[in-house]
Amino acid sequence: MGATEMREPSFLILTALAGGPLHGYAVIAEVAQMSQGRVRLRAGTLYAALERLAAEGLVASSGEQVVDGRLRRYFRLTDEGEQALTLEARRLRENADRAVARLRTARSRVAPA
Amino acid sequence: MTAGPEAAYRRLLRAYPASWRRRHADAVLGTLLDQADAEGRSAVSVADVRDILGHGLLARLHLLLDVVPGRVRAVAGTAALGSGAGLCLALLLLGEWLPPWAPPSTREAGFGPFLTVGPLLYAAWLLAVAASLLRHPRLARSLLGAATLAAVVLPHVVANAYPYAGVERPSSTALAPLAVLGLLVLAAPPSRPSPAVVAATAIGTVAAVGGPMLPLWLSGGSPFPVRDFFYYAYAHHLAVSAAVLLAAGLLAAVAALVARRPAYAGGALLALLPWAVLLLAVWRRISTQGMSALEPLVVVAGVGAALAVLGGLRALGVRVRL
Repeated sequence: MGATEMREPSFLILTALAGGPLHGYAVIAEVAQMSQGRVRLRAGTLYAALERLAAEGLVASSGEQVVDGRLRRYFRLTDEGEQALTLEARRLRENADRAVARLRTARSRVAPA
Repeated sequence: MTAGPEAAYRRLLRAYPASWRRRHADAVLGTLLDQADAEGRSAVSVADVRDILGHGLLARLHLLLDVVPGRVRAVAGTAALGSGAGLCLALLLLGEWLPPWAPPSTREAGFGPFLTVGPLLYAAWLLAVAASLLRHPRLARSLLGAATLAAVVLPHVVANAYPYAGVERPSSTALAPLAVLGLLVLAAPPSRPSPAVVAATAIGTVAAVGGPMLPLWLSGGSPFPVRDFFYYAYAHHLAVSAAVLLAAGLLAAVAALVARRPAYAGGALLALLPWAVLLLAVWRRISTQGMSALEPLVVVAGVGAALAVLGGLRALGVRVRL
């Protein structure tokens, strides 16, 4: 990824795949669980995001399996994807740390003597 | 799971182009059926219909855009972003803004200190350039989308009339190239546009379009000509502007080819399209005034520009699927 920030669905998809290869619906379920139900991906959105992430070299196909007559395609995080996720996680943590520090300073200023 | 939702999902997936379906349809179908099972549904959900139709149409649009390689589109998009800024700036300052020495008769109708509602559109474009350079791509896309839509829609919803009354819009001669510039940028919105390329194309366009307008704007004679610039006798000045920009673009493309930068060459050629459109628009306007002497020149230049674009793209090995 470049200097631009990663969108939340992309970040959550990469995070879901950080635990190992997953098929389409497993990614959707992981993302929903991690976001506590806030981000509910639909299949079209998921595959559009996976296609874009694959074009950027962040994810790759990791084999296919037929279960109950349904094709399951697995996806995995690439080395580049791992690096991009690490950088984005660090950026988010630094932002969060800064926000918490500022809020703490502001609260200490307005606290009654 | 019954065959019901599967057949419905298969029908829905036809929203995607065939090439996409060959690669992904079975995997997406499996995911859709898994999700339907998990949600306890035996029918297609409204959310799925909206999602698949939306992404299917987007995939078809991408297929259309992929006729021109992404790198070429990105260069053309950056050049168009800057050129659009130059065109908007020239139109805003010299085509729309009434200077203090403008005769009172020119102020009969207008939009504040401006002649038409055009400045809203120009301001949106200029803000989009600022947003793009400051790395706010979503804001830039929204503003450009609004400006492009306005350039396409305004000629159809606002009818300018003489004598001037009520709200006016800029001439379609000016809006046509702006709409094409907008489409070129939206086809490949640059996420990190080069400020140097944006500035160079903006300055070049301000000079080419604003140059012939400046003496008229300064003169302020009666009838004050700037209002009529795009409507009547001065349209041929814009043909000169378009010809200058076409020549500059061709030179930039040749220089890029010499420097072995084929994507830049292709992008420069693609970015000529708005100026070819401007030439054709001027030709259309001049023809209605019986000033047909320029027609052969305009036609030759327009066809030449189109051939140059096609030939250049072909020379670069660009795939063209029609």
